[in-house]
Amino acid sequence: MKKLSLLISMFIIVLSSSYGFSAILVVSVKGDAAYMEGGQWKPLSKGQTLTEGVKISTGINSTAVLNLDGHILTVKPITTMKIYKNRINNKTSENNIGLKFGGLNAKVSKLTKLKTKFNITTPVATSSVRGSEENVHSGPRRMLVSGPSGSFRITSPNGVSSDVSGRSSYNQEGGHSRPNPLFFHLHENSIVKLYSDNITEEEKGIHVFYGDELIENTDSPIRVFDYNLTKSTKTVLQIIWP
Amino acid sequence: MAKILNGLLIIMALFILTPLYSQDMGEIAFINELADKKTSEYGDAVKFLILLSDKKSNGFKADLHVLQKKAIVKGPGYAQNTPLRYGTLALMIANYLKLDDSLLFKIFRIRRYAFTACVANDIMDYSRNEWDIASGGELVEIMAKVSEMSGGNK
Repeated sequence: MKKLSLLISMFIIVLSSSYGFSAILVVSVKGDAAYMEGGQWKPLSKGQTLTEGVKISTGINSTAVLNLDGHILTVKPITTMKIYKNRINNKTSENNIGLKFGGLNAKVSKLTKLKTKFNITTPVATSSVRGSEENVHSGPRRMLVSGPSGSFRITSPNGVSSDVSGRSSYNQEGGHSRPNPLFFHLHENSIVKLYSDNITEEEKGIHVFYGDELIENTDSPIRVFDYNLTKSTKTVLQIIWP
Repeated sequence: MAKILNGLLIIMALFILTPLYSQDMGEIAFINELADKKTSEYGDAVKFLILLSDKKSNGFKADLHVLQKKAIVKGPGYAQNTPLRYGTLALMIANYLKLDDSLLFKIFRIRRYAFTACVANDIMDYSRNEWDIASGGELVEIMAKVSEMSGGNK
């Protein structure tokens, strides 16, 4: 009986403290998250350690947060990804994540004595984090990369690279060989809307509410009002570069 | 004393192990299998909407009945293995999310305007049309956006 107690005690201690000895640590799990082992999905749990090559998937309204050698990777809901490479030596820290579909948020720490490589690869392109944080979304419709801070380089399979930082984002739609312009997400969602003087407040409100559904045969709702311009409009534009 | 200690240890072990088995692996397996399908089916969309509603799937007929009761599916619906067209999916999503800010969908509750409402809300892509068949991967991506818009994914 004493031996049984000792065995159970050791089992509990190992389960609760094993995280100190591995490079991929599950920091937290919310909802349904799993890893693939032996061809089957198994539940992911907080404090669990994972190895290079592991495949992780999250369900609806579920997230998992991983710690890879000090870098924090948040696996967003309805996402499947694989950690292809997780290596560290006295010169470099190298991580390569494959994102099959869904979204990831990567917060990459700057390790002072090590050269850091943190790449996220999707079926469309590979992003290399150079700054501190990036959001990557991948799906059949598009690959979207943006960063609240820092900068990153996106490299397509044909070797073309785009550097992204600040308010710009990388947006490549499925089936297209080139990405959209870096500020494409602001197109049609203009920072400033300009109206001519003969547009009433009520008309501006209708345009904001129903927008494109009232307009045909133009590529911008603003152009409809351009036809009615009888006066010039003075505009002051202040450009603040990121 | 030894018996009490052993009992406590067994209870602690159960508490540690139980969370591992309270997660739904079926949902994750469903999403991953769906993502690999070249063509999605009507039954896939029905099941996904049930899962998004935080309910458990009880088979196609029961799931369809739930969606009919909630007015997400109006009428008899389609067979489970009917290829899923964008228009059909858009109508279900527009009813689920109540996309009434779209003027034309608010007036004409049909697939065409449900599709334009979904495009306007960046749920679907303008390069598609209501008659295109959605692949499994596309269905997963669209439903992820729907989940985000309905208040999940936070």
